[in-house]
Amino acid sequence: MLLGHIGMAQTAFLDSITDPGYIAWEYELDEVIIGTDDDDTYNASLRFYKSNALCSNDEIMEKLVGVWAMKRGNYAFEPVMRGLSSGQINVTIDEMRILGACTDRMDPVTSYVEPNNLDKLHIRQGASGFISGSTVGGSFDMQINKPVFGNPKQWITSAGSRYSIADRGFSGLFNTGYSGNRSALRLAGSYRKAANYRAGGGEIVEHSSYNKTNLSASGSLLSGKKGLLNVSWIGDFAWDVGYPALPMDVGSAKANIIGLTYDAWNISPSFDQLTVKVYYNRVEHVMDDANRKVLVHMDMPGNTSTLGAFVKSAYRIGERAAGQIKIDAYRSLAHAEMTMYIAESPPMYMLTWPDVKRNVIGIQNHFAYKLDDKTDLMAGVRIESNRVGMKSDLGERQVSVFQFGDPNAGEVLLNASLGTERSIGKRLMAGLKAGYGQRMPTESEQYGFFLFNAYDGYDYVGRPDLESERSVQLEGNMDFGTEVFKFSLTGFYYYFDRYIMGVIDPELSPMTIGANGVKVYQNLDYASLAGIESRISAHWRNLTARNTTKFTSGRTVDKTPLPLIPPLKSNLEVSYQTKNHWAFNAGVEAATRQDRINESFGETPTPAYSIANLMVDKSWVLNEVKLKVSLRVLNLFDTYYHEHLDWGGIPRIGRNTEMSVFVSF
Amino acid sequence: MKVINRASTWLIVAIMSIFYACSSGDEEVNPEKELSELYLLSEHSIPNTDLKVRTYTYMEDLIVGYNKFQFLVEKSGMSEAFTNVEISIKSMMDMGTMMHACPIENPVLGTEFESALGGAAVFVMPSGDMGRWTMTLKVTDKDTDDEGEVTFPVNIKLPDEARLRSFSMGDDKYFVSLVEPFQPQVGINDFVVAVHKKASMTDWPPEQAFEISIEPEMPDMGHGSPNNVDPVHVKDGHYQGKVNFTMDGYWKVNLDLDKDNNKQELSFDITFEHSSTN
Repeated sequence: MLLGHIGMAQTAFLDSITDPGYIAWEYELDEVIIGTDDDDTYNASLRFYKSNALCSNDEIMEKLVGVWAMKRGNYAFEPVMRGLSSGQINVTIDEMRILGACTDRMDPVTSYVEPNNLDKLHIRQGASGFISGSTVGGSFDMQINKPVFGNPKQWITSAGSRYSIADRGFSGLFNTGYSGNRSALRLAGSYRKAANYRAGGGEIVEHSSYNKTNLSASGSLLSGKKGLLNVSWIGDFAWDVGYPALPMDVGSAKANIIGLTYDAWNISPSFDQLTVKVYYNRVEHVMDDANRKVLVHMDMPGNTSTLGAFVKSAYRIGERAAGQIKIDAYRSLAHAEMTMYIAESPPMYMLTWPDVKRNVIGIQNHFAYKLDDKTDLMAGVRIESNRVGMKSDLGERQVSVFQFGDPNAGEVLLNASLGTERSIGKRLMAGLKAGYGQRMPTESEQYGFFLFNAYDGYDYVGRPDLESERSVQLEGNMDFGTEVFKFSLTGFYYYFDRYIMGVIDPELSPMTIGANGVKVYQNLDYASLAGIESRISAHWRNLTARNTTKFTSGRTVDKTPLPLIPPLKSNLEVSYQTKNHWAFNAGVEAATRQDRINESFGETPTPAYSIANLMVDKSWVLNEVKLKVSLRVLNLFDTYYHEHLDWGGIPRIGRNTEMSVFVSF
Repeated sequence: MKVINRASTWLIVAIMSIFYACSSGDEEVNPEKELSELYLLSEHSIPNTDLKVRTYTYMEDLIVGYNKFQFLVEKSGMSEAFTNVEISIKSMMDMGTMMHACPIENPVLGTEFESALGGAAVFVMPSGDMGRWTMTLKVTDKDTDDEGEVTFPVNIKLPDEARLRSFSMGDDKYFVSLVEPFQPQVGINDFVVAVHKKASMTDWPPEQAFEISIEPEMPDMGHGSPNNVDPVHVKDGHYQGKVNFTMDGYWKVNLDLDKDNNKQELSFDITFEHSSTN
């Protein structure tokens, strides 16, 4: 089974316009590890939840196994994997490193990919998930749609529109693709606009409106019979984005992401595939509080740029062993500043990211070996040099005030994993995986200067002398599958050493008016996370039911609960499709109360909630024209709720009726 | 080969001596060069001597508060600065009905510049309708024991932010002047105040018996800064510590002064703005 998956795999596409024809080459070791025949866990979920082309990434993300969405408004959710987020996980687009330019993490990388652009999610949990950098929490790679070759129909265009009531939201999108034999092109665009939304029970959440345009272009050329050149651009432009959880909004956020990729395959019997990629991206983010009634007006612009490249190659050794080797490098620069204005006083100025520069080069290898017909062995290792420093004299002087130790200018980081998977009978498969991971502190954790966090209401100060966070991990999983029923269960335990967390420093006074105090990032001696995840799906005739349940629990060195850990959450969806293209879907999402909280962190309990969603859609096919009309009612019972990780306890959207129409020709 | 070696050795020596000549040439003559970033306040020939004194200040205007001076002395017939000299300062305010002096730190050679004498005066009020300030320099040529005096008017202005505070404690009146930070910036700054007592109209000795603690704050934001070091007496009424500013803008440094269980609070406003060169 292992070798059946290795090599050229034709990837099925999710979008209605991307018919099979384009060949993507990917080493699918993951799928082997997960061990299901059709697809990996995440993309099966993705495909299921993407059934409505106009739903948002956030909705998809929330329903995945082991993934939560942290929210700061109606816009740009940030992924959280098993309680780990930000620098603990690597969020990438087509394996390109991107650094959000917002010191308050308003612009997670996930906000730059719209669902009509998202092809696959490549998620690997834990320390073994080093796809594009050292990590303790794993990787969340969004693979974007590529142009399609050799389609009998040369031009395919689709367009759609959606209106939702609770936020008076409008969105529109278009995709168009040219499919030639030697060249192919794909253009896509979307526009979203929403007003302040209505929470459950009727409360209007102020400062939650936004405007966003996302454009992308991707062109591919076949070169000879064994090569493919692709150039891709994503431009994401948002303006007047409200963040109800924060004292500020976003005036404008711009991201330009460019990648140039060359793929070659069938190079030799041993080397199936080679990918060379060069990329650059720049993110500019302007936060201000011009629309807020505040005593002190603030401007907080920030920008980042990242230049990177990687080479990766898939290889096989004999009939039983295969692997993928990758060498990657990038350099990034982050700058953010803050100016505060008070009438009759001179402006107050400081650098919140004092030109933080990072240079990274890494080499990694994933390797799989088929021991016998029933047993696979997997191993991986990554070594990375991660150098970081500050280029600003003002920044040096700012931080000198705290008299921290000598800055940590960089480390050599190690990631390693070892796993095995064994079939037991025809329907059962069991796996065991051990991993070790390391990650450097983020720009904010090392050099951030009085960054206000609206989750706990503290100003955060970075520590240049922070050391890397390290983790040893163990994960076991069991998959059971028949034609009609599939069940998988995963349990994990992560042990952390030098866990990086903000700790209250009572000596320091906060910079932000009204803040609760100041936290300085520290390496805690010890922290641990343990959790369990399950996935059940059942198909019976036209009826499909799916359930995902996830639970994580953590503790710190003093045996108190680790903060920022979501409670037990479960999703259940039942869908029914008729032969004449009607589809019905009903879902329930529920989370338990979270009272395993860390009070000294400033955390408060979050009540349990459950919400229900309904969806119906109808498709028509007339010659080459496909038309789909959908009606959805989300949060059917208008429940007032928020999730534990949401900043500031801002309630999520109330009952929301959405209508959408989608056409392709 | 030997010839070539020898020739190259000579060549190296020649080149080196040219460099040496150039560099040593830069060091001498033009003694003012190192003082060029200061402001020339006055230039006086001293009666009864062969001396000429140039007085430099650190600010364009003399202010109410601590003013540093550099004095450069030239002697006729000498190309270099003349340093075997003693200068004492006297500053008087003529208020018509009365006259008073102010705290003085008499010049000492080589405080900051090798060939100049550094001193200071703490002017305790501005020039104006109330009266006029004069400054008197008494200069002694220690080679010849020639001695002379020159008196000239000085115009003392009130700075935008006060750099002098005064208070009474018991029967005594004290003057606290801010010496450092002279050019405040984000980061760790020296914090120095000079404390003088008004013993009489003409006698203003330094006072070293205070215990001082400081606490900076940003009044508009209501926050302070960590790791400040309370000033302690070093010499001549100067108390030295450290003050930390975490950002540009308007700061206020609060001082608690304590002497024989008598307490006094006062503060200095210190404002500095961000310049793009940072």
